[in-house]
Amino acid sequence: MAILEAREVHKVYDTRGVRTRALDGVDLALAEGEFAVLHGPSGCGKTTLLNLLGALDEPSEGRVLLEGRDLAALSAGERAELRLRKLGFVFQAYNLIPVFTARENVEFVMELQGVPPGERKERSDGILGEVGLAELADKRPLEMSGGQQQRVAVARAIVGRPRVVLADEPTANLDSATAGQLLELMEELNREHGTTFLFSTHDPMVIAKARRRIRLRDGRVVADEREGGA
Amino acid sequence: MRRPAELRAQAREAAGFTAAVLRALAGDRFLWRLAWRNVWRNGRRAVIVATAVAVGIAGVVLSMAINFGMILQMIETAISTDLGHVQVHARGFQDDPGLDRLLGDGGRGGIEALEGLAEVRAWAPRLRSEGLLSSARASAGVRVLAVDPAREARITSLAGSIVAGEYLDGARRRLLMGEALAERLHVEVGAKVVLSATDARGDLAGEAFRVAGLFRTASLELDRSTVYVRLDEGQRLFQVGDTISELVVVARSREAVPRLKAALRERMGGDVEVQSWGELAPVLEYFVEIFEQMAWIVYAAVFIAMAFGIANVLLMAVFERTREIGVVRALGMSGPRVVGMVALESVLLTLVGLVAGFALTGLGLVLLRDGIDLSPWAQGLNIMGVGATIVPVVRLADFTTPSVVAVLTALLAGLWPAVRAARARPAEALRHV
Repeated sequence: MAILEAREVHKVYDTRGVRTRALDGVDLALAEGEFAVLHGPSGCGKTTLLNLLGALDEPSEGRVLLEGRDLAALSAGERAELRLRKLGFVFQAYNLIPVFTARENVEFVMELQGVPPGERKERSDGILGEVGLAELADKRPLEMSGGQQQRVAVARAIVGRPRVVLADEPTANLDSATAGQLLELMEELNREHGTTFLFSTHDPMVIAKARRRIRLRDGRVVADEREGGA
Repeated sequence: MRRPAELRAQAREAAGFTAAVLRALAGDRFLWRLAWRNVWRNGRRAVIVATAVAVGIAGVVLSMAINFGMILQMIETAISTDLGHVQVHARGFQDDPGLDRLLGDGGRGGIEALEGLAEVRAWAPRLRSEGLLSSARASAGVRVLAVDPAREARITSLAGSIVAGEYLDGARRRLLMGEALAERLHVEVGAKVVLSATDARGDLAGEAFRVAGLFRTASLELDRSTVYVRLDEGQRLFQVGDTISELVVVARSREAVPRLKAALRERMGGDVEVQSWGELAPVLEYFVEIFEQMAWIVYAAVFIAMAFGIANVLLMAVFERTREIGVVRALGMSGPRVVGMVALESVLLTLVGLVAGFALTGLGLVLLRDGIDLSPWAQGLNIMGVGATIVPVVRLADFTTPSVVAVLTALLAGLWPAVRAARARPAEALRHV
């Protein structure tokens, strides 16, 4: 069964009377444990689709289902709860909370989930160790490099034990060496924790690493390839 | 028009949302930490707003303290120069204070009632009437108070207000008058004056006195219009035997006055009138009431200005953090939590301002502990029964009321930006640059 599914999804933006069709009937199903990528030229609808799958936006038409539940049937509060429990996000610009340290950024999600302080500490230390930032746990984002910040963002995305991590251009601001390390880290997390990853990217390295490549053009899925077959 | 069922549903939703905000605030240390650090993200801005709150609070508390100090002085002056805390008169005296409504037998009934009452600090009998005081050069209508000099000295500040000559002693046919009255009559200490009055029988009576001393109190009205003579000489002049107009009682404290009044009423029955200073001079109580009302007007003016300042800063802060709010929403932070976070920032910013404001107030009170010298306006103040030096008097409520109002104002001011932040759709907020 698919964890995350888009069924005949359309998205039209209406900006001061100007209608822009971002998605035009997308069908997509993501199974547990996948390491998949959305790719395609700029403006093809990658981020829009990621936002809809991540319950951050609502489709103009069609349905998005998470574990079989139609997101349109949920209230804003229920969608927030779903994001908290089932989804993790990694953004292009890291988007860490600048007034929190690395550890606090990681603990933040667990705090929202109601994880007790002792367990929070233990899990955040563990995950920061796993992403190689144990020594920077008490640094604030501005005291870290871009790569280190993105590692914290990955740690934050997975520490709440989500079913799916949605990563929007996670390597776009990183040099290739750092991007490579980050990808390895996410692949390892996918392998070891079984966390499903879906990226949107232009980065050939990310596309090459993915085991499933979904190509979008003009708001439609034009190709959906899996490693070792179509 | 919305139907009642819809309105009820919306009210339920709003109540649920508010409860969720309160739950988030109550049990979430992270939220407090986040809000506190957010306050200091733009330190200069926080300091400016906190300073505005501090100056506003200090201004409100100090001006209230000065005003209250002035009113209190007015009350204390009235009590200590003339009224005392409680007065006992024959029934009807206050409506028609004539010589036919006096307390018989030297006020013995009242004096007996006073015995053993713990609230009583001192008491004195007085005979009160009116007359015409003439000097060689002028004359003036005066209020005549015939007093027992020793007892009067214990209930009023008269003895300490003598600025020339001496207080009344055993010498016969001496009187005290205000310095202002002496100027009007062109007399000095030792001068001869004639006090004429209508006695209890309706006959015109007159007697010559020498000016024993001149007094100057904080009440110009008293200084211009009152003369004091010895009780026995007053009783003889007015032909009232041993009767008196009133017993003036000073309580151990102003707070003890209601108990004292009640006890005297119970002991003395219905033949007499027992009245407190507030009933004898209702204008003083009105001043206190007006002061309380004015305080709310001042609070409103200061706090409305403060609310706009805070709302403006928070709107700016929320706008600048639109993307970040989108991130926390994406991570699963609920709407009520976002509202709680922003409202908390508003409250914390105000609390910082309050603490600084109280420190500033404390400093102001220390600097003004000896009072504010208003000598240039002394005459005007004297007309109101206030001295030239006003000592600010601060009450606990002067701190607690503005604190509560300030926090509530901050909460309200913070709600608008907070709800705006919570309503932003995460995807849109994340696109914000």
